[in-house]
Amino acid sequence: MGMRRNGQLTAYLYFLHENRNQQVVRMIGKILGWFRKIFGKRKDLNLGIYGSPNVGKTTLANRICVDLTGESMGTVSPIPHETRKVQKKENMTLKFRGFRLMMNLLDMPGIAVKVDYRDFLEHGLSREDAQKRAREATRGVVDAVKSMDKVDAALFIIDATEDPYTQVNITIIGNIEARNIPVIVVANKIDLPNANTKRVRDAFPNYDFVELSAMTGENLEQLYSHIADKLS
Amino acid sequence: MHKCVRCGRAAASLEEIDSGCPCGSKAFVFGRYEPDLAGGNGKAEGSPQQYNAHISFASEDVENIKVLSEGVFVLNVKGLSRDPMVLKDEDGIYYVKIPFEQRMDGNKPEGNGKMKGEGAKKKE
Repeated sequence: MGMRRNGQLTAYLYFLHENRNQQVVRMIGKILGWFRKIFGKRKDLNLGIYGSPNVGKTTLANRICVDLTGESMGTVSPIPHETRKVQKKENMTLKFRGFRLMMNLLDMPGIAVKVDYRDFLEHGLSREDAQKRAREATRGVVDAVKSMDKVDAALFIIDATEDPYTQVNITIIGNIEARNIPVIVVANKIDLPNANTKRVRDAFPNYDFVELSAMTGENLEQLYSHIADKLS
Repeated sequence: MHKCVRCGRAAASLEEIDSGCPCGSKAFVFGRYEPDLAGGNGKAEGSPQQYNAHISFASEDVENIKVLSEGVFVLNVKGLSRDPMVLKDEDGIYYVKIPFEQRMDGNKPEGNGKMKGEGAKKKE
């Protein structure tokens, strides 16, 4: 009889012990959940740089990268479609007049509706290399278009020395707008004598607008101010 | 196309299926066979077989439409459903049709590029 009672007590204590363990496990799970809620929601912002080829996207990306991290991002070249893959620089911190923003910078390949390998032949590339570059550039265009679904904000770069009323420009801004992505229109290359920023501003009057030179760094502070204003 | 089950000859017309094969059989089976456009050798100039030998989409191909010659196209349907339309012409030049995303709510874009609800806050 005594042994039976003893056995029941052992089973009861074992039950309590098991129950306690489950409670502890549940409590730890809850605490981890709180931590996840507090810290897990922190999502870095993806800032995409879009535009036609050779408008200065990588030059600007390099400038921003050097300013914020001290390192450059990609290579620039007078040959169109130098950037043929989406370049990503992660965990950059923009600190501007008390504003602090963690972001990933995405330098997109230039978007074009036609990629002709013969254009590269003029820059001294062999036929084979030119055809390879054309194929990679086209893939880059596809990647850039598809990545519009992944960015949280966009810089839309336009060469201020060129006509802004192009099919590509209108389509890019239309796609960004349709996705409700906050966008800043950037008229680049103001260091060049034939730059016409008024024409760019008139072409896209309803957007935040910055004119700058990615090459010299002129007006870059203004861009940071717009980013801070737009994304704060 | 319909082929005679006895002699394997492809039916040239619906009337032939109705009246029967010249071999006497009236039974035909339907299947995806290559059309016999050149008297049975399948190598007729301009026929689909002429292109079949070198039509394929390699993994490195970015195009989903190839132009083989004027008026002759090959489509990569799987690629078209996944990516924007990319056409490669017979000269090796690529053309990309950038899809224009429409707003699903049918509203005209406001043109401020702000995040959702941000404009409404400002108006207050």
